[in-house]
Amino acid sequence: VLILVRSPLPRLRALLQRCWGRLERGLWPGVLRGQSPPWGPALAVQGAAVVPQGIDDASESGAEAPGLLESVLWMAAPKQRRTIEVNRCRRRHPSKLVEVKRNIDVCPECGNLKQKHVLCGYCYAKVKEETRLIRMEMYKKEGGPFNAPTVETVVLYEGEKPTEKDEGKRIIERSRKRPSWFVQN
Amino acid sequence: SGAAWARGLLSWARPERWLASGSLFPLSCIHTSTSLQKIGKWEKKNRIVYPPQLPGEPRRPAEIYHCRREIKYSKDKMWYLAKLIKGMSIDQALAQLEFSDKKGAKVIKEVLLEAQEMAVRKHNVEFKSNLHIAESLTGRGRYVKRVRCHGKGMFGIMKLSRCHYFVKLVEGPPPPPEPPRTGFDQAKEYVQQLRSRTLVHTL
Repeated sequence: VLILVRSPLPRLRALLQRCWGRLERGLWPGVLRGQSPPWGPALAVQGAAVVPQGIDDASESGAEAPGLLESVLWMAAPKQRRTIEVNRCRRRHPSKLVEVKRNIDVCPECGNLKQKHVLCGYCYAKVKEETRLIRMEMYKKEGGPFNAPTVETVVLYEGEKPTEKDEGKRIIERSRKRPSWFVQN
Repeated sequence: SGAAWARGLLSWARPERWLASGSLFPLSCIHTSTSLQKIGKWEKKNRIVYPPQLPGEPRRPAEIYHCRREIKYSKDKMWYLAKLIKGMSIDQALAQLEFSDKKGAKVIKEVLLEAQEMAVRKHNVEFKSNLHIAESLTGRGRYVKRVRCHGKGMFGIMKLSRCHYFVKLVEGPPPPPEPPRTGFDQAKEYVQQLRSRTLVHTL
């Protein structure tokens, strides 16, 4: 048996009335009040004349209303509040804890830490910086976009001369000492 | 704010000592000026001064307390990282945090490096690697409520959470990990409990 509660707040009452109206319109008026719905004369049809598809349609349209009723009132909801002990068991389960990584090594070049399957971050940043400066020199030489030459490029540092192997190649000059990791030819 | 800072500095220049032996408190202990809001309990733990040790006593290992307040991260998520580095040596902890993908890992790494620096400069620690993490905790910071817009003009209220992170470094190698409790140990304890029962409220 459903009991209507008259709340003192007018806005809440209006909201409740709107919800009630929506619910009633979805079903038929009077079903939620507990009284009998308005009955009118129904069509009397012979059993054999009814097409099986019609029965399916009627059953489908008929099943919509009780389906809505079921879906509205029987939604999954927690029955009891989960205690903090239960919550802790779930949150602190070993599968949820962060694992200790065992693949950390020391980079032989710079001495920083690195993962075994990943390049050393410091060495990579070092090379990236030098490459950026070389690219800036190339940009200055080319003067604009789409001017890349069709020949190879050679980077020469201070005090280096182009060898006979470097003939016909574009030469980029960098005004610093050759870094130890950038091996010549 | 400059005057307040100067006042705060002058108040700290007074001998501010917590005597651990529990003897007479000198009057200069009374903190009369209001310095930067509220100094938390964890920060005050660095101020305790022990009396000089007797020649025969074993050396008391140095303890360094450090914390960071109001980190923009959830305390539950931060707790996983705090649990990871509990009981590790500082080098191992820094290595683990460097390659962790979590946002809090960067913050905790900064805190550990700061604490290590403090240990070497102010707390008379000889080797910066000879430290291990005795305690690492997280605490709830101040939460702020904000509006989160949904469709159809609906809105929800979301809370932006912040947390504190506390760490205690102790000089010395990390303690060996406890062996896991076996069934045999539990049985022994149970038998011990049974044997230590006595009669109560009797002659």
